[in-house]
Amino acid sequence: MAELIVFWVFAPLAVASGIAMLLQRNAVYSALFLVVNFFALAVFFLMLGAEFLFAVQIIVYAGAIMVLFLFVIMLLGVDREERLVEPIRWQRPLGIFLGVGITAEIFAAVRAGVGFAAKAPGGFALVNQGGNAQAIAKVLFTDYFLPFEITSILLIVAAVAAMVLAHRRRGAVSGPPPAGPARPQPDREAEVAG
Amino acid sequence: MLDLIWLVPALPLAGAAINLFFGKRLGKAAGALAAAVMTAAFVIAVFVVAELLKLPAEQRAHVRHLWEWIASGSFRVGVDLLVDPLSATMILVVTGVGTLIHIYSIGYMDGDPRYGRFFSYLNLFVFFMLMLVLAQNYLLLYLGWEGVGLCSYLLIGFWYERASAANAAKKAFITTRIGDTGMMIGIALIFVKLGTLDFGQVLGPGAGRLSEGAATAIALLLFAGAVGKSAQFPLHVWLPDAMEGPTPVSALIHAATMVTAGVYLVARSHALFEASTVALPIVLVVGLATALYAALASIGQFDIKRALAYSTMSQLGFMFFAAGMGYYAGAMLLLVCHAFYKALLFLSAGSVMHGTGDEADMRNMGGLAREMPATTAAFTVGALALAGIPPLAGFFAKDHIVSFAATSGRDLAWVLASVGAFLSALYITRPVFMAFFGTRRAEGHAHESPPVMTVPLALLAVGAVGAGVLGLSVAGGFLARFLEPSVGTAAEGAVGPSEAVLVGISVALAILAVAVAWYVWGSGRVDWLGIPERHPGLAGALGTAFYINALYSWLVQFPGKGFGRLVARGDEQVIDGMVNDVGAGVERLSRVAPRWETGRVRSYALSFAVGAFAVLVVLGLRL
Amino acid sequence: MIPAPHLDFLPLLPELIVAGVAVALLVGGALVGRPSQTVLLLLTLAGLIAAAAASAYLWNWDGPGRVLGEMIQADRLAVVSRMILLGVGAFGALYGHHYFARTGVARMEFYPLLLLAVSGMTLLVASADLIVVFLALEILSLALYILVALSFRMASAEASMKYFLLGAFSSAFFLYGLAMAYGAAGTTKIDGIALALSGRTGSQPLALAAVGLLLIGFGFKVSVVPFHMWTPDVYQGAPTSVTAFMAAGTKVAAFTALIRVLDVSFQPLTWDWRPAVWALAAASMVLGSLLAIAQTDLKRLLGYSSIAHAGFILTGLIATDGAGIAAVTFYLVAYSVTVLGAFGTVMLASGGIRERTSFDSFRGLAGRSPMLAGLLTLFLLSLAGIPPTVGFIAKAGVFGSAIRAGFWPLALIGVLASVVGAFFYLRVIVLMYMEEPQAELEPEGAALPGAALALAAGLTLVLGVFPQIILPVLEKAAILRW
Repeated sequence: MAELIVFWVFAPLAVASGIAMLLQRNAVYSALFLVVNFFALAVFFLMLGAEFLFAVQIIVYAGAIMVLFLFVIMLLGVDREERLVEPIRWQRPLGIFLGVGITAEIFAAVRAGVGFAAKAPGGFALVNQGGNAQAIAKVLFTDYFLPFEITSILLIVAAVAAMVLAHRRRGAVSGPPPAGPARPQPDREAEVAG
Repeated sequence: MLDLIWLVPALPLAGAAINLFFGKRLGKAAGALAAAVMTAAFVIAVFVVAELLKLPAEQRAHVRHLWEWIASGSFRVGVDLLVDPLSATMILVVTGVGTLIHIYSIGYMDGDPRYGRFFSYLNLFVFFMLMLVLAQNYLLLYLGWEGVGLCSYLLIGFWYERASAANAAKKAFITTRIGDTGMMIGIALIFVKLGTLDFGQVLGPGAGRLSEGAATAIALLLFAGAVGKSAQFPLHVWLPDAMEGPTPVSALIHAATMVTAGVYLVARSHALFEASTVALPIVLVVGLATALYAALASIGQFDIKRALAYSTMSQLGFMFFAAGMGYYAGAMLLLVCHAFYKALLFLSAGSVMHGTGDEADMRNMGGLAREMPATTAAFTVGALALAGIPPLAGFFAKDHIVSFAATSGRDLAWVLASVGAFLSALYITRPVFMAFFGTRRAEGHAHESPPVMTVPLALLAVGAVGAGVLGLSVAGGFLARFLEPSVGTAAEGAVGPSEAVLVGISVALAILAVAVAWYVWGSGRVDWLGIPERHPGLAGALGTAFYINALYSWLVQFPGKGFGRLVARGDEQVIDGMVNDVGAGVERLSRVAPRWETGRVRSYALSFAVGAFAVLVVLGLRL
Repeated sequence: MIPAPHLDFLPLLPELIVAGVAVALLVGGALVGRPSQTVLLLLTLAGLIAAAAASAYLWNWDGPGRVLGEMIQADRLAVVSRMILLGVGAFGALYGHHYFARTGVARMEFYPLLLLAVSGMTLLVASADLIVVFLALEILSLALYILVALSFRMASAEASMKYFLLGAFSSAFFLYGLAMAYGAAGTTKIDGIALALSGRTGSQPLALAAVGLLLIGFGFKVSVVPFHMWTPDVYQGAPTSVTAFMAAGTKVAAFTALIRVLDVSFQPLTWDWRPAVWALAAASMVLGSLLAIAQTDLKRLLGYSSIAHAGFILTGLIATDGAGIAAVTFYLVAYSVTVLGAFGTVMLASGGIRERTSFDSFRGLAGRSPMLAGLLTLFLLSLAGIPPTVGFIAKAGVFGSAIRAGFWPLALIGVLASVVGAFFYLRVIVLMYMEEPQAELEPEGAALPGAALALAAGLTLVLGVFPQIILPVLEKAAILRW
């Protein structure tokens, strides 16, 4: 019962903050709505018995990544408002239709596949017996040892990527003739999106 | 000896490779090298065929397995060469006539800046042509088929500095491609139905297993390829334009060898055609129609090479006509004889052009006999052979086919074929009188070609005179008996008039045609130069081959324009007036599309989402 | 106390070598300061060769089929695909060495990034678990985003940006598909999913959603219509050496992984995913060929051609038997060799940092550089599938597979699309041989990329005439055990 109440408090909150984040013109507000969304998600993880994910969600996402986002936004200028005018008129309604459509399709698949399960599957409790964090540690260092290690390669690539992009801009200014006047736009977007 | 057959295509290939890479350095030697490998190939071919003749008739089919080409699952295709009477006939023609044309080219192409390249292409063409006729399965045949098309394209456009040559090359490639696509699908269909592409299995037991519908579909699809390659109506438009290529090319590719590949294909696949009741009649009708149509068109031409090109189409029409009656030996006899006299005619025409500074318009010739006696003699022999004057080669070949129509009870076909034979004699004696006799109608001096060109002419003339010995009677000739294991024997008909009567009619028609030609173009009593003014309708229709080209460009452009307009209108409603003008032509369709490839990431993501939605819908339907 | 898992790193040796060399180059480069490009190239090639040797050793691997927590597949398909990818990587390194030396802005990071991309690709083809598939895809994509941007031209940055944004979009779909697969089967193991689905313990609707979403994710990577929009832009914008590498490498890696996903994981649902793959293949072949007609830039044209080729490969994937897989891998070899050659020639012919790749720069190329024109003609003929080039055998193989599986209409569409294709390839050949030059561009002769091109040309012809050299090997590799 308590679970249900918590769910119905946080579920609308998660959806609303998600939508608000999309509609917000100011990047800072947008980022703050995202924080709200992350928190709501963290609560779901907790409800589902995934304490470890709950903690990671708050520390890494709501903490580290959001701070990084905000830093970048601040560096680029808080006042800049995104132009939200859509040059091709039919694109937006079609986009909305497709978004809703794909969601509906996936919803239908989930609905038909697992129905409206009210409880976590039985095996979950068994796995979590010694504590959720311990259980995750166990699979991460045994079965999922390799993917865990591969992630480090991914991080190396990301680090080199950041280095190259940062270096690139300096090179483009002082280096040999670029093909045209340098437009900084793409790089900036890359950092925002990354 | 029979196992050495691989040398026959390998030698020209080696020649092509050497000339391609070292052609510039070889200089003049390039032509000699090309001719030398051809001669060697011819000699080997002769030995191989001699070996084949030593075998008893029923064993005359030798397969030389070189290597496994593709072996994946049940799909097995080998690089297998088949030596049997049919392919033996073809390799002798290809290497024999090919050798003479190579020698002739040494003189004709002298001084061309891309001398080595020319011989490289020419040798490469011969290689692919030999692969085509020696192939033991349809895939290898298709390799040769595509290869000769490619070489033909390169050689038609050899003098690409002339825009007309480059355009002709493109036109040839595109037109034949339409037929080739049909053929490709036909081959795929053979594989679908029979699970093999091997001649031995497809044409042996396989053809009998096919249902009527499947056999018809396969036969007609293969025939589509033959129609394109052999320039039969309605895919004939490329051949007259192909005369933009150097004349030896016209002689070798567009008269003696490549264009006959379609006839070879029908003769080779006759089991498939016979498994269907409608395929052969269609071959017959297309052949006969082209024979008549092209003969009429040839009479309207003033360009000597274009006149010969229409004549080639007409002769090929006769070959298909024969094949359509099931008289494959007759088709092959005409193929062999035609290779000699048409190569002779083309090379003589080339000699004329060589000697007059590239003059091809017969209105500017006349009276060349005095300055170019050897060439005149050669052209006249070729023309008489084609006209069917006994005892030259064309007489036997054509007469057998026409007679066969009568004796097998096809009366209407016989009448039409006789008309065609009459027109052939008329159109081919016309250039003789126009170009070589009478008085010179243009300034300038003409000179006889060097021996390197006239000697091959003489040798070809011997063939044009004597090739008739291969088929002295309709079914009992040497070639017919030799080919029997490959194509079977055509039942000699018992109906209709006797052989002697038919021969008489035939000869009378040929002589009458020569007489008419002399009266109109040779006697000076008719002002034929003024015919186009006096009868503009007739001359226009004949000269443009009945406006088929104009019809095609209209047919291709009109729906293209309409479709483009339609797509554009749809666009306007959706993309908010981004499309304003309406272009023309088929390319329009593809021009419209990049409009939504606008470079906008958002549009890209939208297209992505459309796809995602659609994929999930398609999978959702499986629930 | 967690019990220590049994770790058998040997089947992962090729990836370890490649990634190890990459890291060594990064660290070494930082220590040395300005390392010589040639040394970097040699080290890169040495790493690739060592990895190839390691992977060749694995051909006769007799240990367990899956190692490292059943995350890595130690089968022959992995060996063969790795060999192709390492070869592609070597070509990419040679081209890049030339390209960046010519532009005068040699980037030391090029080699490590290239190696990391290769390691991602080879990891992808050896994955036995969808999680590893996802990580490998991300490694190779991230490395490619940066490689695409490695040029001073603005188009390069723009292309990288587009590729990145859309790539992130597609990754989301892939990840969702992965989650659905887990929901359907309770596992992310490639063979585990198949067992769950065939044992009917899996959930059908979720599995359908999973296969759909995974197809979308893969569809983006291999540029299948309608997930193809980025391809021409990125191919045009990227440095040509990188375009060559990514065009060949991404297709080989992603299609091999797709073979595993479709023919193993979702093999029980074959009849359900076939219509979707059918539609994607047909759309790619038709649209890719039609849109290519209107192009006036050779790199864009090759981009559209790569879309059409993705359709041809999907056609082969319709047949799920061993011969079908062998046909697809052969196609991948053929496509790699040809496209590496084609882009390599374009790189040498388009001259200078500005990359003039519009048709105008290729007019009359035969007069200026008969060798390059001849090579490009050969590669274009192979792309068009004209015998006796390797492209013809490849096409015959995949169409044959489709026909054998009963999908002859798809093969028919393919044949017609290749006819259309022949037109636009021919147009380039006409440009080179039959038109007067407009731009005065000096095509360059360079020894290293020249040798690479000669190798590509040789393979294009030799494999077209003697495909039996590699077909038996590919057939042995096409047997998937699970």
